[in-house]
Amino acid sequence: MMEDFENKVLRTEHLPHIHDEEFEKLPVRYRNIRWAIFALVAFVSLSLLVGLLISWRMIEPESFAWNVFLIPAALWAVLFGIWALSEWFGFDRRGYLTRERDLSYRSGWLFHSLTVVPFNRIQHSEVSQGPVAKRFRICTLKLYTAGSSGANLQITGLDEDVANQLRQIIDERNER
Amino acid sequence: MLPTNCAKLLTNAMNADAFKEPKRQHPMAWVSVFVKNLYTLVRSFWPVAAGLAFSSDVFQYAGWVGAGVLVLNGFAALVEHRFFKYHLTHDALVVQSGWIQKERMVIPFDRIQAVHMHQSAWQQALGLCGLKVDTAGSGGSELDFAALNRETALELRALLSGRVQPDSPAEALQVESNQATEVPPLMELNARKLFKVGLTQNHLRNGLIAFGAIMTVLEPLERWWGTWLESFPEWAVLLLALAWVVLIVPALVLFVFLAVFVSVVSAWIQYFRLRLEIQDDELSLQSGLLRRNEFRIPLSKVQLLDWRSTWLRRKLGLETLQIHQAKAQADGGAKGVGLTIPGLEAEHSQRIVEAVFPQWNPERVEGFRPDRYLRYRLFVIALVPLIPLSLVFGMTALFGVVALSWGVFRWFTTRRKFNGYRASTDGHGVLIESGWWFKRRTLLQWHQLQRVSFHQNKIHEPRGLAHITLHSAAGSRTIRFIPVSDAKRLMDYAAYRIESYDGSWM
Repeated sequence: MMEDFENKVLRTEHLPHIHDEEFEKLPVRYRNIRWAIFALVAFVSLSLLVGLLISWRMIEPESFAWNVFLIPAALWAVLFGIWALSEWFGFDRRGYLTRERDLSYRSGWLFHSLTVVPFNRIQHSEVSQGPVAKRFRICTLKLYTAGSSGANLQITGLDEDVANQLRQIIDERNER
Repeated sequence: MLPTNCAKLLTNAMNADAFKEPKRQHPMAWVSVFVKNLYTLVRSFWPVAAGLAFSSDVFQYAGWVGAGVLVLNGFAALVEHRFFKYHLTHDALVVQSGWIQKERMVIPFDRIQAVHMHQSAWQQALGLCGLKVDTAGSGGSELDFAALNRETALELRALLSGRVQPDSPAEALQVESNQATEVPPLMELNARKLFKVGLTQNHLRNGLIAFGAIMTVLEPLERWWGTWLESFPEWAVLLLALAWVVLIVPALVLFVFLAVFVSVVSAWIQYFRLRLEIQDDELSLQSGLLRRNEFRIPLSKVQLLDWRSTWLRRKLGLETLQIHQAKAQADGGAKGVGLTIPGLEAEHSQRIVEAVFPQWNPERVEGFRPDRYLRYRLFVIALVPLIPLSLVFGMTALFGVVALSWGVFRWFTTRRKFNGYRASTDGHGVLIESGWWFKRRTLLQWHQLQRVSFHQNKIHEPRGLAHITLHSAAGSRTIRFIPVSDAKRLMDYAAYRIESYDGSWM
């Protein structure tokens, strides 16, 4: 028994560094869906703005003023500009990483975040899929830990098979 | 302890078998339910009822309506009492309730965070107790027994809190409660300390609540006091209207007096005869004047210690400590399970820390301080109120003087606030401090964390700064604006401590 005993020195610099690991990317079709949503929302909102402008000009041409629309148009451009940049640069930042003892997810370009959820703290997990996501075979993996409402880690845009594999890994790790 | 000798009460202790069959609460529980429902009704409809009472058409039926409400409420309370039954299995508390819609709730013992006892004045007179069961985890909920015999309540509490197993003999319950009476208190609030606690409450909040309550009562009675005012001679009303400026100062003095009075009285009602004990592996707190509460929290289930103090409270050498357990997921994380201890001195705090987090060693810590960027950020945010002021007063000399004075004042106060931000860890626990006037310290243990997050935005990135959020089952705390290298190191360390810990985190 005594010869099995080990007490190795552990230094914090020798701990596994999560930031140095290479994260797995989300499928390209999820990026396409995100761009499609962006295009749809941008088109609908711009159409509403233009529709309002034309209606005003047609109904009350004498009181019509172009400059009233400058501020909403500028706001629209800034908002959707930031959104487009976030989509363009942010998608490659999205990724998940499965290690032996935890699951991590990183996301965000303007606001970057990385969350680590150890397997031994997961209370339960859930895979959800809406009709559009089902058509494109992607889904959302939700992980729940103790102490707060809702999912504590939500990975949207996972391939169906990958999500089920991750869920299986979580179940296996929790059974140990 | 409650104002009862537990050992004496348990001389005829029942065996745990008595809880194996479904049983009702004490018959007087229906009175408790009746009063609670009536109070809710009155609180909800009081302004409407008061307004209608002045209408002669409605007033003639008031007696009938009142009687109808009382009878219906009494019947509902009786039904609620009759169909509420509870029993214990080998690993869970089972509660059945409802008449038309049946409900069955199963609370496993290992989900129970704490069992609290409470005694209102009428319960004290009749020798009854209320019992509240706090649970945590997914689908967590809370259960309130309205009235039980004191003996039953003590036995049930011992069984639910796991100090005595359901199959233990009756003697075990008796021994357990005998031990409870011999422990000297860790702290007690005497009249002088209680007064200090009252004086250091949030008077502005209490004053506004009191003012709001007075207005709520007066508004529906406007006809009555309006008629009374009309009886005043015309010259008196005119004088009152002209002299309102003179009345501002007395009104403010009256408001301050009212606020302090409300604070002191509420402190007395809430914390009267407060007694804190640590016995075996539990922390026990009793307090209350009209309603006597006894909270017990197993030390192993404490997730987070949170000290809060104001400048005045610190000058009096006191702090308030909130002890948090795991929150129920169903509560939305909003309602933390735990207890509040006011009027703690440094020595008491130290003893609590030694009992709850015995491995915490404040002598051997590594400190983390935010970057100076936070100091300038705090100052800039503090200047924001000047923007609307500049719009109101314009760029006048008066505004210049006000802005300059405010700027100088906030320059020094934000520096003190910035100096208050720090975090330190000894490897077992982490202490996060913030604030200056309102100071806050949080102590939690790495191995009890649930997850950890790293945050950075486009402004932090070039400055090499980041936040680390530590998520515990009792809430999240963030270490802000620290160097990225430290944030990454803390994140790796948190993951290591959580994942390498094989024991129970709650």
